[in-house]
Amino acid sequence: MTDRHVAGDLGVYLAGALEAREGWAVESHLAACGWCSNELRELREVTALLDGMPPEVLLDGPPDGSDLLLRRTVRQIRKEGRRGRRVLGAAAAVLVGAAGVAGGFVYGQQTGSPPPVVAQQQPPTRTDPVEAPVNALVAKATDARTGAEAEVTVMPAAGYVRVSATVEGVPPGERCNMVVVSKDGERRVAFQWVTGEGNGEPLTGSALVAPDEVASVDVENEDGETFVSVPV
Amino acid sequence: MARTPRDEALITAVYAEHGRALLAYATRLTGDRATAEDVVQETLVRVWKHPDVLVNGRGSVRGWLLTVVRNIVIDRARARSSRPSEVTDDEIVAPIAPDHAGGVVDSLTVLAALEQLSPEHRGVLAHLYFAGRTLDETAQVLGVPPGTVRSRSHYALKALRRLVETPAEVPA
Repeated sequence: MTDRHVAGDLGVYLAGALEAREGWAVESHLAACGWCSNELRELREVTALLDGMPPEVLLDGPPDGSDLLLRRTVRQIRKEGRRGRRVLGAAAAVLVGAAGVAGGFVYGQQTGSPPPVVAQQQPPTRTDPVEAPVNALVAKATDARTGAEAEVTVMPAAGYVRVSATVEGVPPGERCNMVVVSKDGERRVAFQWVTGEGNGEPLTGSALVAPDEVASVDVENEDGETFVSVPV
Repeated sequence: MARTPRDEALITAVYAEHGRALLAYATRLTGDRATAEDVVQETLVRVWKHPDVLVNGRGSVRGWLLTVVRNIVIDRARARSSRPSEVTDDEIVAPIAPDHAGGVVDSLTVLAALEQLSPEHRGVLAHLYFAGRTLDETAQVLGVPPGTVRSRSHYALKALRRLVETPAEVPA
């Protein structure tokens, strides 16, 4: 046997990850060394716990390959969300008509008194997802010409806005800008991306436009072609 | 508003962090990739319906997610009235509520402890204990000398032992 303590090798030894010859050397030392044997007993209690775990527990990250599964899931929650809140959807439609714009808007939980039609009809449901943040403005629009659809959440910050959005119906491979347009017509890019098949993944960014100055949020490509403009 | 980009960001985040583990687990249990994808989709929808499980400090989020995957697989198997032999009761995964009866260390506690390990410690255990790699293979995959794998795996097990013995206090 070797006189060198083998406690430091026990992690790999217990995993069965040592070459046979080296494993024998460890065993021969263990047979003669109470200190290392004791260490082995303690560590074995831990590895016994690992034996009961499914091997997948330590896999991190998204699955390999395409994120088709994610997109399918997002589509399903959109569908279920719509069904769960059909009444609210109708209320929002009323607001759209009243405002006379292409895209509806619904306040999150703003500080002022909300439009009563929304407040009355909003049912507390078990499937309540995470609500839009306080003061966030959620707006949505579909462009009849391009067929592109965008839903944006504009969150006021000190002197600027955070924008998150999901966009669908833009042809894949378009190099896009999410542009925040101010009431003065100033255009600032909140973020840029390249559209994929079907689009739909949530995107986020921010733009230096004062919260009360935001007029619309536009999806356009680098050539300046606008796919959809969402008034807010 | 029933659906906001935030909901979708939540699902995207869960998918980005746990998607691989969930799909691998579901694929092993069902033996079929297409069915596994359906199971994971259903799991993510449940997360969307109960987002509180992600923040209420119950311990292991992944443990909860794997439990949901397993339950869905079993439900589907029962619905077809033929239980797949791959699914056995002694296989992880404990019910959602941790059961500390008798001081027995349950699998959720172990999962929570694993999640608290440093990425280096998790990585070395993943390769040696879960992927069954040898010392040299692990060293190569991780890009570190074999001596580092030896010491790191030893310290990882010691750290895991400490974490299991004194689980992090979580608010009820």
